[in-house]
Amino acid sequence: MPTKLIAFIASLTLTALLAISLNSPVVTQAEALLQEVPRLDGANIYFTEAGKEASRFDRSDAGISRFAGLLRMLGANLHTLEWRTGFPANADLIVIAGPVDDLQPDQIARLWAYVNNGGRLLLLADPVVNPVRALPANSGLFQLMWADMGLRARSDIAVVESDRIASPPADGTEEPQAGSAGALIVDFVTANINTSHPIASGGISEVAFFGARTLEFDASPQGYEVTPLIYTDSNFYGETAYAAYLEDGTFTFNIGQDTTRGELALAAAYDNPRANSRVVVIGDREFATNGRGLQTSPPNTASFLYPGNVRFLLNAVTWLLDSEPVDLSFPTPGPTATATITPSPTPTPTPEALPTEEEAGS
Amino acid sequence: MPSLFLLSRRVLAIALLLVGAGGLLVRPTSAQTTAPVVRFIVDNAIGSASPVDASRTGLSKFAERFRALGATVEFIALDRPIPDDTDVVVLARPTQTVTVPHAARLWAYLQNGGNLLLAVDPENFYVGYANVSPQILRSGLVSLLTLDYGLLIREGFIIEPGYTQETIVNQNFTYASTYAEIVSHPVTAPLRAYSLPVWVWGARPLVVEPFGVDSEATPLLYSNAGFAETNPNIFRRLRGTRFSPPTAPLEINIGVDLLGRMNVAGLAENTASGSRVAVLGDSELLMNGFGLNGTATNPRYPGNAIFADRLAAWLLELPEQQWPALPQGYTWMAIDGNPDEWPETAAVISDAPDLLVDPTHDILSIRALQDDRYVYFYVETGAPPPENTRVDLRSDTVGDGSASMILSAYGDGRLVLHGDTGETPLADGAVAVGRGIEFLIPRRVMPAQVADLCIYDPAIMDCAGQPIAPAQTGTRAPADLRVGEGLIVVVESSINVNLRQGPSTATQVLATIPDGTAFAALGRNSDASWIRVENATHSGWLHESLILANGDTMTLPEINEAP
Repeated sequence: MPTKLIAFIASLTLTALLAISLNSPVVTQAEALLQEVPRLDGANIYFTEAGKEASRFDRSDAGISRFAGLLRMLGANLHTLEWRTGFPANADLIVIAGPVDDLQPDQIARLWAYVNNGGRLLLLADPVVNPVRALPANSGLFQLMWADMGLRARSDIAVVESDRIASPPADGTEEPQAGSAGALIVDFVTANINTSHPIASGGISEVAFFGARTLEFDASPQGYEVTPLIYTDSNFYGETAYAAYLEDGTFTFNIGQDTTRGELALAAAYDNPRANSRVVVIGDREFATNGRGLQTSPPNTASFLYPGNVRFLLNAVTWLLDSEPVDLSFPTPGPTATATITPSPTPTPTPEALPTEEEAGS
Repeated sequence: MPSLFLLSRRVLAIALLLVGAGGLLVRPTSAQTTAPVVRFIVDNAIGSASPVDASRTGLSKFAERFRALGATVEFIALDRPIPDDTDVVVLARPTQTVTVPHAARLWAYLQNGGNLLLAVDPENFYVGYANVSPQILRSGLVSLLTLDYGLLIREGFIIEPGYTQETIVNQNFTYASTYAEIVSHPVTAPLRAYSLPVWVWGARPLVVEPFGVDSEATPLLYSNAGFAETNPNIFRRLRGTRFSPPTAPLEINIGVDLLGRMNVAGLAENTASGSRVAVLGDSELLMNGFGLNGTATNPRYPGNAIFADRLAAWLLELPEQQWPALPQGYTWMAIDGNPDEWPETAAVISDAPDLLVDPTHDILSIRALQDDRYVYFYVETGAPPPENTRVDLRSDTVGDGSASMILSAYGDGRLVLHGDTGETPLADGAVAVGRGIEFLIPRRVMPAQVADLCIYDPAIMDCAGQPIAPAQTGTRAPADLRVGEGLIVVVESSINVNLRQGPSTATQVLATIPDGTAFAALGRNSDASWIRVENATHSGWLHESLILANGDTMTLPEINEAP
């Protein structure tokens, strides 16, 4: 076939393909995720920002623009809450994404009135470590929540010693002595998930935390229900002097102050059918931020490194809004993915335990 | 086949059976109405006053007001949510910190449409057993009430003339009168109409913003004291069993302290939530041994009793026709220039129309009556008189049968007493021009007989031409004093005390005065052992040991009257 003819046919083909592609609707990766899933059309979600919370407008690693974007793509209407004028009557959900400054007394009162009158709240509470001063365990909002809901976050941070990961104690009870050196690990992935609750079900195998405070809850029969959703594994304890550790690098397990080692709750749900109010508390702001819990690889794609975090957040929102859970699948993170998290504190086999070549061959 | 008769009987029997069965199934309904529920906050953590406390600082009498209006009264703590069936919450005199959780629970209740009465005292004020420290500003409640109701509770202690740091240590010395605001509201309408004071015992100021987003607020009571000290360290503090002295002086600090006319009570409605809030800057005005001293039918402070009644009714959202009536046995006549409230028993003098006189000054009738403190006059003219009208009461003070002028009532509100020493304005009378001209004067200045009454402007005059004898009503004036500016003294004695002509027991006894009678303090002798006093019925001297003054009597002007 003459070369010119071949080139002509090829150009025609390319042109036709181009025309087809131009006329076809462009489907983004994200939209592809969300097609044919239950939506949140008409839901009004208010985000707070007065206490330096993670912002839905912030596309940096510290923002929650991805989380907000997913909600928007599901059809929700997103707003910023104006505390001074009170909670709008159309507020279906309030999201408080990790305030740095504590809520003012009048804000607490407004929030309390909203929640107790059929309101829904998603609260991300970071550990109270400088500069975070918000939401102390024994006063303000958590004082109220503990009294009336049986749920609050402790003033600690869930940690495990790096030494413990390398060589866990035989009986699991040895506590760090005064002046212990080494590293305290606060970033971790956990698979200890209560899949019996709608929020934590739907294929969430593991979620990642980046410095989380543990939650205290009262699951006894009270007329409302508090359900822990995510736990650490049993190696963790709650360090209350983390700021001191950051300064001098030493740590001690302080009996009576630190939270006893064990499976510590990191997220929980509160449900009061009588008041028609629901609250979800997650003890970590970075659980939802662009650069941590919702980080992607390659960057700025829908390939979430921790899809469990995304599913958990969306499930929390749909549960809070009485909507159907969103069933998503995410593309696998790219080969250039580099986890920014330290290794999961799952005991790794010692070299002696690995089979030898001879054993493997036999 | 059964006959038609039998069939009809069977049908009838079946029908009756069905009706009877239906009657058994249908529960008889009774005309049940649910009584409104009023819950007082009684919480150890807050230290508020209790509705079951019958002591001097209790609220049992105020609670009785609610019961009289058909409500049930209970008490709760604020360590748990307020029950949904609560119609009114009362939080009075929190002496300890109102925390953020307390405020949040109150707010949740308000946003659900509940009604609240909040009575708070000045920070650090010593109330006889503790320094109150509600720290109400830190709870968030003040900010929310300001934003959503237009009611701002200020830090401060309203200082009456004569208050010193020595007198404010004792709550008994800190009483003062407040008055109904010019802005009309059903709660205070009678107080304004009858110029009734509401007594307070150490008040903090409020700011009331009438219009706001979703809110309408109304100021209720104001103080003319003119100054509120904002430094809470002017009070001595009880520490254990001993007092530590105040750490700040009582003085006006321009730019820091509050100056001018100040509100001490206000109320508001939020149109979004439908809730009502009333805020009082003093809790004693509702307490058993203070504002609600006495009985419901014989209150020591009628203004406080009426205020409490009407405030309770407003909080219960009762229609006005169901609000409590004014206490009986008092002279309820508003000085408004109209004869609407004049009883049939008043003395009436009629005068035929005088065609030579301008109708606005032509006397058609004069009504007159008197109660235990005041004498009331109403002059009906041919046409409504102008504001520059003047009415003269004339009496034969000389005894020669001639009528000499003794008192002038001006349509602009002035009352002037003409005496041997010249003209003296009367502060405790009242004049009003409406369809006619109406005025009242204190009995202490009334002569035994009014020889004549004349009405005129400078050019035209008409007189009754005959003596006027006001009829006795047998009722009491509702207020001891019609004005409360300056130092006030109250007789404090288990027996009647002697009011004397001069500052000495050697002088003549003018009258015996019962316990609880209030006077305006006009002056003192050199060492303030005797106080020159005056009220509607009496003027004279009282010994300082027999009275309780709401300030330092040494601040009164010295009067050199020879004993």
